[in-house]
Amino acid sequence: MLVVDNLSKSVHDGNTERKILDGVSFSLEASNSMAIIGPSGSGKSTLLKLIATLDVPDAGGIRFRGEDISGGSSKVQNAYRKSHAAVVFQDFNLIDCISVSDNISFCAQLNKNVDKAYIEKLVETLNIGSLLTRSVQQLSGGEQQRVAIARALAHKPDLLLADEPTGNLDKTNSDAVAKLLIECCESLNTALVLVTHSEQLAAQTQRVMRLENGRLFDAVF
Amino acid sequence: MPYFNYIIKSYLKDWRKVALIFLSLIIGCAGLVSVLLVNETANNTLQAQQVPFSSQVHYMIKGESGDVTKAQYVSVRKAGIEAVPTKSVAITLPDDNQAQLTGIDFFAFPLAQERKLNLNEPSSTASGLVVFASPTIAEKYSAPVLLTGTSGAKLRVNVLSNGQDNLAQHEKSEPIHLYADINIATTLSEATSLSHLWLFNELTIEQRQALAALKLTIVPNQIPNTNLSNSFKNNTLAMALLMFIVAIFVISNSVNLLLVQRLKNINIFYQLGISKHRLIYLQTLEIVTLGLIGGLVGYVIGVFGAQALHPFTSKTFTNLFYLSVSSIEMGNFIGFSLLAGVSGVAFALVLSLKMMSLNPKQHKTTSNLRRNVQHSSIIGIFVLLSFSLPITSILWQYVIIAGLLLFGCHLMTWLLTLINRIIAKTIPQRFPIARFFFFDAQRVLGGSAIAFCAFFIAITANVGMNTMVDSFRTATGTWIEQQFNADLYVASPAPVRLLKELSKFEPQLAVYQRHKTTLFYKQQLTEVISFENAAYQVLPLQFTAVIKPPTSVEKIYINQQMSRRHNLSVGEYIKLAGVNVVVAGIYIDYGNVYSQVHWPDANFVSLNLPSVGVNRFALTLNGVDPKTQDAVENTLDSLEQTSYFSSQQIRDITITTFDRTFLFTGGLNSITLLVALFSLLISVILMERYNRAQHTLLYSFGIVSLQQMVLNLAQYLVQISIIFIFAVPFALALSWLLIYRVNLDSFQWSYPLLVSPSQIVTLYIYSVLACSLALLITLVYRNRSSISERLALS
Repeated sequence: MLVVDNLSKSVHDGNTERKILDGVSFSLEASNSMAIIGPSGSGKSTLLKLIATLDVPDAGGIRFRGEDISGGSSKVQNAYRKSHAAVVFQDFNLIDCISVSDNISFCAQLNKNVDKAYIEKLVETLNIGSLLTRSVQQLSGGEQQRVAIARALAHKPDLLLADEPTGNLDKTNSDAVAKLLIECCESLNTALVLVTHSEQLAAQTQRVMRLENGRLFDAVF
Repeated sequence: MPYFNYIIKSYLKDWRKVALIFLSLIIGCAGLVSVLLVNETANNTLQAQQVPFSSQVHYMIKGESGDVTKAQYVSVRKAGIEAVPTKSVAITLPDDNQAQLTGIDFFAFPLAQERKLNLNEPSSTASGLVVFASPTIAEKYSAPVLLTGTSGAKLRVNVLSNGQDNLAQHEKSEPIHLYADINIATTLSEATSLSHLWLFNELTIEQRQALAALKLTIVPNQIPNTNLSNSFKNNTLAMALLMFIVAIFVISNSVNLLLVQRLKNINIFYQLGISKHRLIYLQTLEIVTLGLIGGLVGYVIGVFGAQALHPFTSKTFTNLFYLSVSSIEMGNFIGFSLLAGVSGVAFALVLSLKMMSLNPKQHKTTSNLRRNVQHSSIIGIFVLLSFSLPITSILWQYVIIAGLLLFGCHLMTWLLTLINRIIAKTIPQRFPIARFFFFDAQRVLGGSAIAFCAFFIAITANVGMNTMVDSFRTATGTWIEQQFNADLYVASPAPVRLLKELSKFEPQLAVYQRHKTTLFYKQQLTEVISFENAAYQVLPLQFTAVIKPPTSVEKIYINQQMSRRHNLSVGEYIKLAGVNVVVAGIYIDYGNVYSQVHWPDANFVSLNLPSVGVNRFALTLNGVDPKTQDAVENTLDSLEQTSYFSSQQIRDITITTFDRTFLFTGGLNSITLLVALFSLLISVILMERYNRAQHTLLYSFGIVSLQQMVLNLAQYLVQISIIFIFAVPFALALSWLLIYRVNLDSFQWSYPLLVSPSQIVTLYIYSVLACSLALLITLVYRNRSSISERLALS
């Protein structure tokens, strides 16, 4: 379903150019899950943003269901982001002027596939039922994290890109959220790409890869 | 030190944003300074038109040849007329400068003491003699000077200031005017006659007849039309006040925008141990420094701007009041404008520092509704109370206007938040983007409330002033139609020949002599017009009240202004120029600054009233065919030095003059609107930047940029539309205040308030276009960076 082919990306750091991704390739089938681990600054989040078409690679390509999305038109990219991919950002990126409830259903409303029963179950599982009418600014980091996950899953995407989804959660919540993420993806046939520091979380996915010095390797625990 | 390091680095990093904020500050200051400077120019010029000594004189008595003999003067005093003899003489100053010295009999000058001039001073000075001149001339001749008269006589005198700067002194071609006791003039002149006599009171019928018997002419003193100039001055003062309020908001908005950027980091500094007081001190220092630099640059630009406007100002004054523009006392002006600028920055600082709460939870982006309601209630009560009070002070009425505008600002901010919230909540959840933009509008409003307020005031002022001017224009048109409803108006130096030539066209052609003069009724200048020819003069008047008095009493018709000034009503008996008359009607006389009376034609002759219309005629062409009309015009053309105008031409000339007057205030109005609009645009640009991460989030959900752009545009257009709709009633209230309170209390006349929807719509379209353009530029610029970069801004 998702094919990442020889992806490269550099960033300018003053006068020097630093290669973050250097010929990264992998593929992911529908309903499969994979985790990308690696040290800080290794380019995990950059890779995720490239897959989400939030950034443009220097070389290489990304294909989703056979269609080139990294070099595709903005129309193709918009449709991909709107209906097929969902991102759980490291810094949540919740819409702060609307309520928690509106945030959760936002993408589902956009795609016109609001499944109320499913969203209610999602809310219940993530234990955010009491937060629905609150303003985003009133939430703690962990609560915002769970709302961001709920928003990403509410429209049943084909591909879920999660950047440190449990980074702000305690052990109990972290385990529960990780379990939910994987279960949801399995039940919805959603593919999952997880970027994390946690080897324990990564181990719950079907495939774990390590990103180091711009290159991606299969991880060995 | 680390804090300053941070500030400098933040400036360098975000130089574009800082430049925009700084530009807004400069524009605010420059706009304020230029409007104040133009206002100051107007004030100086209008003050300078007051002629010293003679401004209280009602009439001047002149002899047949011009001068009055001493024998005639004795007869005048014997007739019981309190006249002040004067004598004009041409003199030469030491530097060969020619001057005109007016000698006034100070012993007979009743107002001398009131003017507090130390007339005993001549005896106490070394030379023993003193002359008065404008402050400029007095300063020039500070040492005793030798005057040489036409007789060759020389006198050493001290030149003292009369405290008034006669405008004529600014004209290089005009001779220098000096005033002194008549003894000095007599010594310097060979002639024994007097130039003319001054009268300060109204004359009785007997006195008029006595003057006629002495072959003396009564000439009404040409007192400058201070009512009209006051009206003009009040308009520019109103504009300066509005600009002042707008400038405060614009400056405050700039400072606010800086603070919005700072708040996050200020909290970090607080957490790192910099004390709250220290942070406030540092932040204040930054704002004051920026304010000073921005203010100074703005001041210089404003002065240059006003200099650029100077020829236009000068032309307007020359065309309207036959005055040349006075030089500006820059020393006084700098003091005044600095005071205004400093108070503006201080006010802005207070407003802005309120934002600087160090508790992050208090950093609410949406406006505090409860506080807004409290404030608007207090100001609203003040405004309502002020409306109900019979306050006649112009300054106080302007305070009411300022209160009204501030009340509008509070109410507008509150209502705008409420309306956005209601709209957002009303939109069904299946339209999430529209919901987002209306919820988001509250945040935009919270960050740009001050800019929105400045915009609101500018719109209110613009629509309000334009409505006032339009109403005034229409009223002036009505006034002209009333006053000039004959077909042709003719002025000829040979009236006998004119009447003879025109008699061949009778009876279709009716010729009316237009008598007109000025009288003083209860010390107030009053126009007197003959109504003998009721067909063309009285019948078209629109009466508010009219009666049929007994035929035994002479009747007059008075205008509304006279009725209000002297509290006169129909049926009331008054004494005018010594004659008992009854007020038979009160008519509407929009646009006229004087009290006016319509009186029988015969009185002009019997009462020796000095008519200015002895050779002016009105012609009505009743059913005259075009051929005859041409023949009439050909006849008039054939008469030497005879000029004629159609009523349409008079109307056109008047309206052109009118438009020129209000082009000036319209120009000032536009500066205010442009400054406010500019402030709003800067705000839109910067707020968009602050909200970029949130808007970019929508991209990550696959919402196309065009869709966002349209919704973003719609978001602002809805805000502007709401402000506009909300500003219109306030603008009409402002017009109402200007017409029915300020104008009526000051000048005793008013005119109907006429609303011009097309003008309001035009202004709305301009604002929408300007805002759309700014947004489009911003949105296009936004799309230059990658989505992930934009998201990182959060």
